[in-house]
Amino acid sequence: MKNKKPLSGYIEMFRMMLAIFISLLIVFAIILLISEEPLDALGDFVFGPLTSLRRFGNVIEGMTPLMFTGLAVIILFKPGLFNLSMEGSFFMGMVAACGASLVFGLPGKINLIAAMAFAALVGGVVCLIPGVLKVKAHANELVTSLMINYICLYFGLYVINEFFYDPTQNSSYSYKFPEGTVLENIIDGTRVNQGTILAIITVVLIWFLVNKTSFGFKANLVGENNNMADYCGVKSGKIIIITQFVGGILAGFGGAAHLFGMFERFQYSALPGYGWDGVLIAIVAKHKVQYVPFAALFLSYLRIGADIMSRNSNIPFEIVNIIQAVMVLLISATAILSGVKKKLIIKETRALEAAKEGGR
Amino acid sequence: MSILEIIFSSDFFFTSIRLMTPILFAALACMTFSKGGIDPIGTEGIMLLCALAGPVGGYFTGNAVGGVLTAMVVGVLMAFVFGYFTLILDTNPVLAGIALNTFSGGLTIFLTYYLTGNKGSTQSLNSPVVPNIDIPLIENIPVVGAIVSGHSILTYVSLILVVLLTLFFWKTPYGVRIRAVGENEKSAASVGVNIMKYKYISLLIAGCLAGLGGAYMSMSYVSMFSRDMIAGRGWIGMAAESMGFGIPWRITGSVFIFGMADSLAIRLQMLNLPTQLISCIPYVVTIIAISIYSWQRSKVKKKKAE
Repeated sequence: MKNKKPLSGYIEMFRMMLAIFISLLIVFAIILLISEEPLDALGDFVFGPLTSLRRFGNVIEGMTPLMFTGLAVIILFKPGLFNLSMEGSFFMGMVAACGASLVFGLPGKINLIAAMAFAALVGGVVCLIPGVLKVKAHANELVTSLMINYICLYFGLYVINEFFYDPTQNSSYSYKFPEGTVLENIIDGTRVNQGTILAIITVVLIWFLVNKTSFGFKANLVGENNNMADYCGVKSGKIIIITQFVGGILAGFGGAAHLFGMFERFQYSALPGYGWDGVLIAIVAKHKVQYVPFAALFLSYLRIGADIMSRNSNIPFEIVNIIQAVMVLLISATAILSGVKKKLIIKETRALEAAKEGGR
Repeated sequence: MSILEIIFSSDFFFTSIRLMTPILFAALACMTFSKGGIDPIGTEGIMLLCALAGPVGGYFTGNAVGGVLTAMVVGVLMAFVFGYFTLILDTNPVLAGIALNTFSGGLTIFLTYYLTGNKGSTQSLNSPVVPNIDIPLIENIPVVGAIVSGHSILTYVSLILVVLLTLFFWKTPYGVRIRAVGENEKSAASVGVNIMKYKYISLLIAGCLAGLGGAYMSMSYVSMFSRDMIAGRGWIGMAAESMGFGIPWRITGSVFIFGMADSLAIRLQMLNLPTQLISCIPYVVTIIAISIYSWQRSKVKKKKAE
């Protein structure tokens, strides 16, 4: 087909642009309404991340956890499940990484690798639970995974406070990680670290897994039609369980990469929310692995912009949550512009028919 | 104190009822959503925003009734937003539910900060609370009185609503039509039922119920809004709804189990067990309960199929 892509094919993209535009418009309206210096606030929000190397570095380093959880969500949702335990998995990944790094006591980088592997395993097990309960007991994965997030939070805090708490620090701060158990900086003047490289490598690996292996094909098939997959001899239950485990590994590993790249000790006392961000990443990336880094860049830029704005004005950082929510709602509102799309398709088909008639 | 002593005390059951109230409201809201064929997943987010709307409304109107009504109005508005996106704009309900939750999480902190200058709670508003009442005669009965009497007005409202909703959904034409729409839209439409009208009615009622649940948390359970205070009760309500097969008295039964789990968690803290581990109990109980329920249900289905 040498023909140009018909206009109706661009509607999806246009809808996403429209959704992003509307949600930004809402935020601008809020800023104009309540800020004392709205133009300064807007300037900080839109251009702030570009004003210094350090700030742009913040954007890049902020992409790491988002890429991991975005990938995790894509994989977890692949077989048609809504397993939302990536939030808890990411958190437990951090807890496990912290604990393992302090307990294993291996020399240098081996300790780092071992701790991250352990975190990935723990993260995988967390996401596995709702998957297994779904396949074996038909329990609604949504409810079980949401409950697991709370369990991960409290259990994780228990582990940190009970075994790794540093009494010289605030509550739920752990001891410092051993020397060498760190993902090193790669750009001077920023905190951009090897975690970002790991995330990019993971994107490539997962792209390969999803698009080039029979496993990826089977997972897609299960997601599209469970019964048909079973009929074709694909064991859908097995595929579901494996995908949930792999998704969890990604989230847990992401937690470890985030922790060792950005901190020298564990210091969370609430769920960080990166798992939920992963849902937006997956939606903006249209569930395509190769778009994940761009979606992560976009969201990370928004967050750093909002962070800079919140420091210089009276607009709290949580405005980002409002933007994210509106984006998820609008981007996934498939009926928006669907009428226009239908009309375009009809028009284009008629034009094609007319062209054929004319040619005859 | 032994564990048995802790469980079999009137105080334990009193606390269980106190803690089951928000989950009961959530479960009733979920039930009403489901009856109208709408995914109940927005409940958690709706309740969170209502939990803020209650004290804020109470602060501005100066009385608790104003606060509760504000929470209900906000609940209805949010339910309609959810309905608009899922029914008209075809948004996936799960994604809409997640979005609503994120939205409420952000907006409540945003507004709390804007109104009080701190992000944690609305303590400085000194908002009015819904009073507790003693029931005459019953309060004098030993044991039973100590368990049943002295709760928040909203707790009694929730229990009365269980009865009213049962009557509504099974004995009135409106209720029966809502159920018809929820169970099979097309056949309801074929006999001339206006589907959208009944969906909107169920959104309206469910929004009010979620509003009451949110208001209970911040105007009765404690006297202020604090961030993320719903803490999964909306989701647990969803679990209770499906475990109760959508039948009000059964839902109340399963909600009571979750209330007891919550209550047990609070009581066990007296035994010097680590707080964080104990905080897991209600969530663990929910997972176990929903798994057993689903497993049995699928077994029954299989048998029927054979």
